[in-house]
Amino acid sequence: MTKYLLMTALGIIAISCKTTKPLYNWKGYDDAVYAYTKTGDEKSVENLIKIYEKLIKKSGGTRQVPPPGICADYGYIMIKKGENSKGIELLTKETVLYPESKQFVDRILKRLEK
Amino acid sequence: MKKIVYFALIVTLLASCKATKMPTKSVAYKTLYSEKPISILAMPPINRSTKVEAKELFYSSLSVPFTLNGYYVMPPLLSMEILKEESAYDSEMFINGSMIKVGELFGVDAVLFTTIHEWSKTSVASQIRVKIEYLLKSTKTNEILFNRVGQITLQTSVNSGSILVNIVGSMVATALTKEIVVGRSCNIYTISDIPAGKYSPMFMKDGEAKSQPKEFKTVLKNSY
Repeated sequence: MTKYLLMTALGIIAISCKTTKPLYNWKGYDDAVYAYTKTGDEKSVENLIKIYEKLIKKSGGTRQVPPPGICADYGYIMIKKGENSKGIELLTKETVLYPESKQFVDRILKRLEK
Repeated sequence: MKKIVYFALIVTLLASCKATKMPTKSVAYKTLYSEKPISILAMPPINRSTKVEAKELFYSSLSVPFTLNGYYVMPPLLSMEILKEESAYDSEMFINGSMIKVGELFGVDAVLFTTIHEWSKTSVASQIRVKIEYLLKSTKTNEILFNRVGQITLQTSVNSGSILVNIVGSMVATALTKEIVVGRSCNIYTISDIPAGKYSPMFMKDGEAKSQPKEFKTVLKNSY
């Protein structure tokens, strides 16, 4: 009987959840950015970079592009690390993927040129 | 046995039909449908809880649920840096003011304010409770586009009585029983009611769906 109950429950859940794939893959981001904000130490920075790389290379989700903000924030971390050219490249990538970010990101880029 | 199955079915149906008297999304979020905002700047949360570090730790988890609903949220780490530079770290000073200047500065359609009303972990009652208010304001008209309050309590020993809620509850509990995890669930639950944004295939197609009540409250159970 338990089996039937479980099956019914699972069936109902499956119907009500519609199993739609999310627009983006954010896997691992929440914990990585949490650790970075909390400690900001070397290890948390390296881990966050690893997650950014993963989210950009294995975009997943239905849109198959990196989630909003990822390239820009990654670029910001790179600039903080002194890797300006990689940082600028990533910031520019954000504006290509998401034109809505252009005004804001261009302001940051202009500042870097000074 | 049949009886139990029927009972389970009825309970689930009742749970999912609770919102039948609610207005459709196109009525509840009329301004949002007419303005069609795409880009959002999240302001640093206003913290009314006793947990001091809640503000920064919670901030970066805000963008995920909005993006999953089709919106563009300004990069959180970069935004926080600029907001601090512009002395805009204290959102309390801006929440009642005009959003037009912020819109011009950041090039965004809307500004998100969040107020953390409660953020607590009590070991005596073995529960975590977060209560968060979300307020999205237009930078074009200063109108309120979305305003919802979510309250989530995670209890380690009480059954919520709902299969769905229990399953999510156990997912949360197995992940790690930190306030931040409950905070994230609160974001996902509460923000899921927002009409779909430009990047969602449901954009401008969900107006007839029922909206949820303004205050969202649930108790999750740590069921393992």
